[in-house]
Amino acid sequence: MKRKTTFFTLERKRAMTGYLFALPWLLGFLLFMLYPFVTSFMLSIGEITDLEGLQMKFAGFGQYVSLIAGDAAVEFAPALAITIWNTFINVPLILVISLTVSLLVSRKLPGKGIFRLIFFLPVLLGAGYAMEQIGGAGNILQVPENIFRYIRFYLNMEMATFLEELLMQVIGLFWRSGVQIVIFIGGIQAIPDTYYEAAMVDNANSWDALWKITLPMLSPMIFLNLVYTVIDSFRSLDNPITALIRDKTMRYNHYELGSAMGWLYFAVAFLFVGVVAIIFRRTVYYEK
Amino acid sequence: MRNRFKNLTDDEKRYIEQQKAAAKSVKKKWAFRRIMTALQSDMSNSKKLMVIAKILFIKLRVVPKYFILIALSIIFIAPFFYMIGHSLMGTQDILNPSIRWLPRSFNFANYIYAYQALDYQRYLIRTLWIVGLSVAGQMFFCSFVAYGIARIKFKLRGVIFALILFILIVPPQTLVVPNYMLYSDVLEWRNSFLPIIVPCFFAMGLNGGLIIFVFRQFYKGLPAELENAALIDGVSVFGAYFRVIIPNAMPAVLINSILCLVWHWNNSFEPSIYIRDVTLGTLTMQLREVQNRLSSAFDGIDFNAGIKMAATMLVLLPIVVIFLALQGRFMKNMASTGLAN
Repeated sequence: MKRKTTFFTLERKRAMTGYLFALPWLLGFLLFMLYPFVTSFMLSIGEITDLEGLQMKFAGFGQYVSLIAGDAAVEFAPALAITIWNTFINVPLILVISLTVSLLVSRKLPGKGIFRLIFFLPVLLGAGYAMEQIGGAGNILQVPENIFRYIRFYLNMEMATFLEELLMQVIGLFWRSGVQIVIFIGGIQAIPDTYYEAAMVDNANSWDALWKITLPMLSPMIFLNLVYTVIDSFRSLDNPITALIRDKTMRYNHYELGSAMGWLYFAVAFLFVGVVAIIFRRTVYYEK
Repeated sequence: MRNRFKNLTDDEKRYIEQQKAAAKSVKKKWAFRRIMTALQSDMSNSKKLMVIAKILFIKLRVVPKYFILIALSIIFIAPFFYMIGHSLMGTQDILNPSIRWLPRSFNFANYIYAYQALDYQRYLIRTLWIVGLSVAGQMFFCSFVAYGIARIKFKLRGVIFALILFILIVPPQTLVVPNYMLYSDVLEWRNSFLPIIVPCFFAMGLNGGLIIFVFRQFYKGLPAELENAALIDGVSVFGAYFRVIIPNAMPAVLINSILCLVWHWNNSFEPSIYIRDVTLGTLTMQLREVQNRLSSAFDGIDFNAGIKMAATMLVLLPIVVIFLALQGRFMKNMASTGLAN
């Protein structure tokens, strides 16, 4: 009898606290995100009748049809393809680079503080006007210019341009792995020293420790960085599709098409992130 | 955990300090001592050589590490050098094509001019307030929400987490028009910082999703006994969160506060949309103003490059200082997760 009358079972109580914890975010979502999202979706299926106050009427899914199979697809599809291809290539490289760098500066290395500051510089400069002042990521390469001169001197033109582009790409990747390095260093810092001490007592060398302790313990952070890097590459300001959306909305004031592009792009990006997350979720090790 | 030594007497503390110092000095002379004992021992010469080579090999293993690190550092540090160099150049040095990196004469006038042009002191204080409030709100509420979706099982947590990631994916440019409508027409927050600060107190601020994600991953990595022990002792879930989880998630708090700080500091996209009156803006917005005012590129040569670079350096200076201050804590290893293994 008693069991029937109690509404708050232990499990339900736990679930309630879960919702309580999520409450600030839910409120924020309702207050600040729902309106922009709904408006932008309505824009994508509507037509602005009066820009003042954003009055609009329903116009059907014509924008989407044109993006998938109509006139707008001429611009949209190649930009999307390039973005996805870049993501495929760059994400694993960024992860490997940032993991290697953060392992190098993680433990027992005199002067690691200085190196950490240096590897943090891209985060510091990355987003701000400082970067624009130096001329963006392309112009960071004041140093390799001399190297390029030698490359041009010794190789034929095609080889030289290929090598130059490769070098630029690699340096660009290094510049984009700042946040990941910071996150990885934090993750490595959180691994208790006792694990390594125990491993050393059991006669493990540092190579074993890397594979048996550091990487499994770091796997939540690797997963995090994987998802973050994918997301970052999708919404980075210099990928062709964000540039296209920005052009459409802010330069040509073509809000309807811009919103439709945005929504279609979110759908693709979200699908991509979802697939990556589901595939790699199983490889993450959480301490029980 | 950190106050382990609190209840000790002075003598005991001194003894511990002495032991620590002794251990340190032994560690330092380790290689040298091993070599000396190897030399003095009655091994054959070839064996001595082997032993010494092995010790040296272990000691010198870090050399290629440094080589790689220094080579990488050059890539990272080059633009910074470029900026510092240019910020110290006078007009003559900038016009001289043979000068690339180091100015011929150090010219600090750029900094004085930039300081005045930026109205540095006033905007610095404004920006510190805004960024400080945003970061504080972001830290408190993002970690709070993240705990819920990381450690407590409830039906909608998968959906909520997916939505958080979804919001993170959306490029801010696409939502800019409806967002502007919301803040300026519906809520009537014109020319104020509320559109930047208030969402931070709902875990919605700049890159809030990523911060929640970082916290979630850290919380998931913590052992379950940690809060179970507290719960069995009769503490509420919130009590366990504030008193047990947060102290153990300090690395996450530090990473997030550094990242969050830098993002907010450098962010000028949202502020420049919500605040039309530039005199009410942040330091970064002011930097853009100054740079537009000084743009006088002629034939590809920017006469005011020195002042611009000096202004940029001044704007970046506070976050560099804060990073350096936090970095000592950031580097410290967590001794343990607070559990006796």
